[in-house]
Amino acid sequence: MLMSIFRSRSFLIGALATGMAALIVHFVIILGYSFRDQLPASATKLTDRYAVPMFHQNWKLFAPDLPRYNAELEYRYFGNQTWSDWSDITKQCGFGPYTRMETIEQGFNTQLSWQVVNNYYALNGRAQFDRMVQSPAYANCLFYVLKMHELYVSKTKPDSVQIRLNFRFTPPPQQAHTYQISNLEFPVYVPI
Amino acid sequence: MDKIYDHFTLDVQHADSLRLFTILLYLWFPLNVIMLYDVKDLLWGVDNVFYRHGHADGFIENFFYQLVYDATRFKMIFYTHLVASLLSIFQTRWSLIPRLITWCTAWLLFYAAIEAFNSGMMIMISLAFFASVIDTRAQHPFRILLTNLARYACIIQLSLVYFVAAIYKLSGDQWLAGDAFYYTVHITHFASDFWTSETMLNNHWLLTGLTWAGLLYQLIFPVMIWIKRGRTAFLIAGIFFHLFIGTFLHLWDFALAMIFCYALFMHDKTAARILRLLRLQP
Repeated sequence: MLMSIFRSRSFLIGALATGMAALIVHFVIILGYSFRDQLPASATKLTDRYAVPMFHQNWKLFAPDLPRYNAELEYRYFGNQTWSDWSDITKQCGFGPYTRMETIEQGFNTQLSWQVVNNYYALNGRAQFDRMVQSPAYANCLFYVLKMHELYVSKTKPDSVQIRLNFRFTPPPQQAHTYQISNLEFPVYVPI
Repeated sequence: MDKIYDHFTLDVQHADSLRLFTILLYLWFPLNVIMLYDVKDLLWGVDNVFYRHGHADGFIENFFYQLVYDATRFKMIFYTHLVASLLSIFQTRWSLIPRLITWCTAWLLFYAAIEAFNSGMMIMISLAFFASVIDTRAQHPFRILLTNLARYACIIQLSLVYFVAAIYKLSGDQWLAGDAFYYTVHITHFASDFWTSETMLNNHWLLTGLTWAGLLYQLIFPVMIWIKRGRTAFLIAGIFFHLFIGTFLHLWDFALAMIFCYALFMHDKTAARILRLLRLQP
């Protein structure tokens, strides 16, 4: 009886219409979610509620523009009354530039670089780090460095740790390939 | 109306290419697991490298973010994902169950290590949701209907990926100026010695040409896949485009994900030949 209902033409037409309508609604919302930065807050509230967490999408790989610099995360630590040399933690732990751990580090670098661009400012001629060090981006980097240090370098917790972002700026195309290199050292952090 | 009805309910459209697509789609997940196996503890284990900020609260959120707040479930979820994705490759009456488990567990793993993934994982999860109802041997008209709708959903989803990516690229300066590839190879994570050599960096026309070719491909993909004439050549070019991304930008998971998806557009005869070769022909 039930199977014959599922086979009936009227049921199948209804199912087809419902399925098509559902797909149209789904993809319209997903399209809106994909361009959520261009939508008003009232619309993003709706698209976010639908898309997160089950239909989340983000297709911005290499878009809209690529950074005009290469950033690497370095750290040093204070232990046995001396500061270590600066080193790239991912590289030091044996992970190459194309590994998944480097992908993770680059993700953190992008977040922290965004903080540098948007939340690094000067007051009375002095650089201010307060906004940056309160950001999740800084916490991510610090946690990553401390965890990798604990797992691969030393089980002993360092007395202090400091991170810095090393920037190598890409020269504009068709100009001499000389690189401007700069770094930004963050305040010393004392692990509790 | 009758034509549409018949199209969706009489036969599974392009059954062989669709079957090959589902095999490759669910094969991608165990391949991804193998690629991540060495660092799985760093990504999801109790000693993972991520600072956990907390997450949105709610019934659905608590399910999908469970690995974010409870790393002790990692092994169970990780191996469940592996087994479920392997079982999903095979088409049985009960395929819906392992396929939905694959989809759910993939999200759990994704959210708990979001920085470790690129668009490859996201596209495969998005497609896995629709593909869970695909049954290319379906005889019942309702299952045939579901399978055909899922096939179109996968095609639209794939088109959406290219379309959104192209629009975002057009909104910047570098892609239209032809400089995007030049800036890409200056990022150590994507660069290789070949592209950063003086000879290649001075070859401005090549770098510009590659940038524009990539942009053009993404822009016209959503249109080209519906045009029979020239589609095969276009998709072969696309395979080379993604092999290029895998080889030179070291994004193999993303490259393989996109190439696997192209099985959707393969000629049925070619797909049938491959299936016979793999002894997976029903």
